[in-house]
Amino acid sequence: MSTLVSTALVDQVRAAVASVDDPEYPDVSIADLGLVESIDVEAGPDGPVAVVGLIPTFSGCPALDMIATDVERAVTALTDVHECDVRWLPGPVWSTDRLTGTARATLADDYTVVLRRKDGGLRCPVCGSDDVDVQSQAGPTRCRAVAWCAACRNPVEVMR
Amino acid sequence: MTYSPAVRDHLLAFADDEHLVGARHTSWIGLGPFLEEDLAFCSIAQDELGHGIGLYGLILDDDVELDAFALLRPAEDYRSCWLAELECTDWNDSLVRHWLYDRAEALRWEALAASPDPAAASLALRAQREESFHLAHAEQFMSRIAGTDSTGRIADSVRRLAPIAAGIWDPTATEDDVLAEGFVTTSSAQLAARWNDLIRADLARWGIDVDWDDAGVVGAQQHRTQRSDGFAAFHADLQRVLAVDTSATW
Repeated sequence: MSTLVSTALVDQVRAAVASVDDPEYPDVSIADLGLVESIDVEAGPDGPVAVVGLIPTFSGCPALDMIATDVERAVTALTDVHECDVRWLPGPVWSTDRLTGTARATLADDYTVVLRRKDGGLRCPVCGSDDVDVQSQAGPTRCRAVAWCAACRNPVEVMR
Repeated sequence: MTYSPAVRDHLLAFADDEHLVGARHTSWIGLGPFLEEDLAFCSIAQDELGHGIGLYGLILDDDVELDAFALLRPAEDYRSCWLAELECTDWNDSLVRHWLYDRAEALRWEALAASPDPAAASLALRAQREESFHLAHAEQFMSRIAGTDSTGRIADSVRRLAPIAAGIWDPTATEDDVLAEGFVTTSSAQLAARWNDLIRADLARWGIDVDWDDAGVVGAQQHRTQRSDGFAAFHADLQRVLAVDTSATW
């Protein structure tokens, strides 16, 4: 496959992919959640083909089709892209380490969803207390557990 | 990815097990014994279905429609074990199946993670992360139920289901070729021995005293080519919505 594709176009595709928010978290980009693994643009017979490699948080996430459709729609809206091929890659393994600071901040501030610290501890995004315990490993989605802050008595979710 | 027919069959057996046990687990959605458990079991079911999709994805050509392949094949083309096909109408049976199955599943992913095939190995790494949650769930539930007045029911489930679960280790007819190719290096018989030790150690730790007849269903499964008695009804159930209009886009 010819690679006569400008890096500017690859950057456009990257921006279009990053404009897609996670369906569970409006305002949190799938790029900031660490779902985007690779972006290539290849020269196809009818025009440039964008190949977007994504990785899921969990294999059983029911939002995968929706995310792929949103990415395809965002990328093919670019005038210079003829086609977009979204692939769910078998690896690498997603983990919360892939989240950017932007995603962490929005999740904590807007969704009361936090991540475990390196020392394993949890900090309540509402009151800042460390007195937070996981109540149920299974939460409203595959990637979230349910916790409880004993200090401010608010439910907190933990991305796992 | 192009695999040999032997490797394809080996992966198909795992894919069908994941798909069918996941589908069976979903029958508890909305009916779990308490809310957290309902969520947990639903999550585990979703993971198993996701693993099935991942494994089917390894062996299917791009032009094959996943739903049609997973659901509309003739019964004789499935390679599932009977434990995955089994209808569990009692919660204790479902819980025990989940524990027996996930103990085995973790070993199967471990074997696949060591495969020189990069796609299979990376899928296995992701599944191992998820499987750790499943095993933790089984441990938490079973260890709490041991010593309660439900112990007898659990022991009874183990006595009936452990021999069926041994059928997980019934290899496909061409497993020797899979090993000869080096796709995996651990045989089903080797994994079965480790699994047996693990489940017996679990039971001893939980104080559940039970033994069972090891004869099991392996012979009757005939290298996973024979379906169990309840399969036809289960298969029809799985197809019910899709069969309304096979050409529809859902």
